[in-house]
Amino acid sequence: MTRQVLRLRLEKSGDARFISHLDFMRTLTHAFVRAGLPVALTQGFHPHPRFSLALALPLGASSEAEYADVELERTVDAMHAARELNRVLPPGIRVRKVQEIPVGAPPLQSQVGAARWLLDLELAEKGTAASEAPPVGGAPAAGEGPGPGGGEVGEVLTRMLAQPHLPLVREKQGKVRTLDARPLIRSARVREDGGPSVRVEAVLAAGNPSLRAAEFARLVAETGGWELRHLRVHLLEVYADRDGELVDPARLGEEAWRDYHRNRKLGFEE
Amino acid sequence: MGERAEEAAGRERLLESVEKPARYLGTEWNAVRKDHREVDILFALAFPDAYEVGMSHLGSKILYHLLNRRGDTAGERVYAPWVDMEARLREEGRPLFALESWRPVREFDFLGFSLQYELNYTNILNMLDLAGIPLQASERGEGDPLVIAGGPCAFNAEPLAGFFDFMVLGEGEEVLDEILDLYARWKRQGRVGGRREFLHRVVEVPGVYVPSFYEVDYHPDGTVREVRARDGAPSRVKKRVLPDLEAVSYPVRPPVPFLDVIHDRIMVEVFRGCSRGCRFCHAGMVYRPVRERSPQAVVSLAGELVRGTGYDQISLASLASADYSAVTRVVRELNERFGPCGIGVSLPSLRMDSFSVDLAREAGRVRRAGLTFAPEAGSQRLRDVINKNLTEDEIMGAVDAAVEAGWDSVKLYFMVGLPTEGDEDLEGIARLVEAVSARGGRGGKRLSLSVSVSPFVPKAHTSFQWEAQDSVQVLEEKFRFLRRRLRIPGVNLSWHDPRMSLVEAVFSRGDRRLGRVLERAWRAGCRFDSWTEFWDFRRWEEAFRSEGLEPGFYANRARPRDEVFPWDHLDAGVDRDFLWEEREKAYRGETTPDCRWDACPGCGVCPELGVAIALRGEGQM
Repeated sequence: MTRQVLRLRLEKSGDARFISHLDFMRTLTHAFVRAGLPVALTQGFHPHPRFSLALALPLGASSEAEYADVELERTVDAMHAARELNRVLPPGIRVRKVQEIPVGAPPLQSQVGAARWLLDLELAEKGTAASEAPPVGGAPAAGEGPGPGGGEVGEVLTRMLAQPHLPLVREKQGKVRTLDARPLIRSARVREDGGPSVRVEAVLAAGNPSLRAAEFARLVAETGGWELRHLRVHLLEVYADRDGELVDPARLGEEAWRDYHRNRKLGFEE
Repeated sequence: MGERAEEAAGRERLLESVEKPARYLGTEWNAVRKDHREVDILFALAFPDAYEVGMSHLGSKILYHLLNRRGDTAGERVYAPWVDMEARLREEGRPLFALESWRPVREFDFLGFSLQYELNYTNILNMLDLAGIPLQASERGEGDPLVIAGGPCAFNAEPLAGFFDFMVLGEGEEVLDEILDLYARWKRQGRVGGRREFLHRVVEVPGVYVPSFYEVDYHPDGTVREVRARDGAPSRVKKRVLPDLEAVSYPVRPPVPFLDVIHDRIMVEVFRGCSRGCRFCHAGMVYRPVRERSPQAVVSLAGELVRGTGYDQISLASLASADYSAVTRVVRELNERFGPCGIGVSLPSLRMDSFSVDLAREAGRVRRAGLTFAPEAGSQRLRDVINKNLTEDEIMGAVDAAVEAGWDSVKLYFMVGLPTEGDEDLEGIARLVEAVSARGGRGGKRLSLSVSVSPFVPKAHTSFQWEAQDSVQVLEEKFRFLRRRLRIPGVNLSWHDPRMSLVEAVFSRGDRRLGRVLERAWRAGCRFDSWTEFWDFRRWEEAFRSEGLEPGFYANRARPRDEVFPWDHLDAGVDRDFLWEEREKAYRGETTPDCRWDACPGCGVCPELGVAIALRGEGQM
């Protein structure tokens, strides 16, 4: 029997954004079994299905780019597999695309270097409440009054991008360290300006090293001298980063096939 | 923003503000979300503990399924909201809601609690309060739901008597439908006569207990003089028991939680009841007799559950699964069918013998689980007293088999404070642990042992219902002794807080007067009492003091043979005389065999309830 790897592009929206990364993995694992997919298993005392997600999405974020590489024990029809999965996935989780990847190709997880985010920032003039940033999708802090509009936020983004360095304090397991966030921001611009929030689209480093969407939002607020009252995050796409060139998963898949055929010397020419 | 959009936004903000929002979504796979306009009865199935505990409970899965199988009923779940959610609900003034619809539970027809553990009782009051439903049944109006309860603690839920409109004794499968049919008819008749009339109708259903139809008189010393039935209520309420497990449809599509809950796997109930006859065991008495499911049914349900849930682990659930008469064949068959797909089998609650270990090894072919055994007592004498029917040879045989099979760690459970226990029995625990530890792992590696010690809690309806619990001080001394004796490399000793066990003991044999203590403790801030991070004994002490009730009266007092118990009118089918005889035998160190394989010891359940032991291991697969 021939193995097969499917790269699923899933959407995580609505209530599903409240499912944590680990719980999302477990939810997919259950769905594979319900859909009757012959997912390959790891060896050992505690075998688990061979699949990986490209990126760990923060709790509260929605996404249209949840990529799961799933290894199957035998070949199935990819479209059929996607349909079967969609029959057994809970509300808010849907397979939107499926691509076959050669067995043995590097998992997307190991290739991801950047991610394109939408951030809805609800900002307020500083003063009334604590300026600590809420978690992604966090509750608003107290404090009233009109916040900055898209124009002001756009100016701040321009200012940030013009800086050679952007120091960012990161706390991890009680240890505080400062890193430079500037090289981790590929691009950032205001997309829309409506209602109480300003929508920013940003491409940030992902994988290792990475800049979390919430950290970026905090930087925007700090730079503007604002207070972040609410943040809503949505993932648009992930990319491999080749010296600044962003390569999307579809192309990575095509390239994997080209390499595969080249290695097999099947006369595949560019 | 329209009203709907505003509501949705409010819901999202609420979910954004709690640590584990996935507890409250109600959109799990297999969750049943019905249009309320198309049903007549809204039933909120409540579990008074955290989501992760409630979602692990088999009985609730069964009831959820049976409720939603009815065309006229929507059954929705509600758990004790975690403290962060509770704070937000109180801040917003938002009433407690059912998960599937997010509709306030006070708009439901029924709010039914599962009573599994005495230390959950404050959560019940907290949930009623959050729901905006009056705590006392007598204060509820026509618009309030009927607040009802079932589960093992209902066999003595006297401390809760004032909070419930009615309770159900025994197994819910059949009686639930009878109650709902009655309710639907009453509702169609325009709720004639109000709640009071419905209670008069429902009290006629066997197994239904309406506490307000009973009056309790006390002696001056605080013991019960008499429990009198009024309003046409039966003088004794007999438990309901399902004669044939296979006669009722089993939940093959239970909701699959997003979160990693405590028992996150398929549960196939292989049998109900246990007749091993351990004299301390409440479940062993109130779930009698043993009724097995046929191997064919077990295997076929397992298959449906795999497809219905997607879990990769099948647990053969019961009070002692190695006793299932077809267990070896079923484990082998399940492994053959599902092993190649990476789906494993596990057996909870194993006896400590080599047969069980062999089974665990066979079950663990795909995914190996930890081994947990409960010798309960350290000496042969005391194991005979409690009728554990387990010899030292069997114990050592189990350890050798486990080491041989490659396990390098084992969990052991003991109880201290059992009736007749002396120093030599405690020394026995220490010696047994030493002996097990010395058997060692393979290659000179020590066997790592987790030893859990819990205080004995005397329970109503058991042979030890007359016994005194050791005082907290005595229990602490005993634990200190064990801690000194068990400073052995590779042995990790843990201890259940004796103060928690004291409160458990008070409520497990409590009377109606304790309702006031409960309410006071809750008002003082008690909830999630079984969670060490929230447990606060001082509040409980204060509540007892304020109500003028002495915990020792309930927990640490030996009762005379003829004392009237607060639960005497609640009938689990086992003769009180049989329980007393068993107690006498305990003090003589005599054991009683299991009626599945030996003579009937005359507990009375089968003739009393018109049921019989059902062993079905011979059936085909």
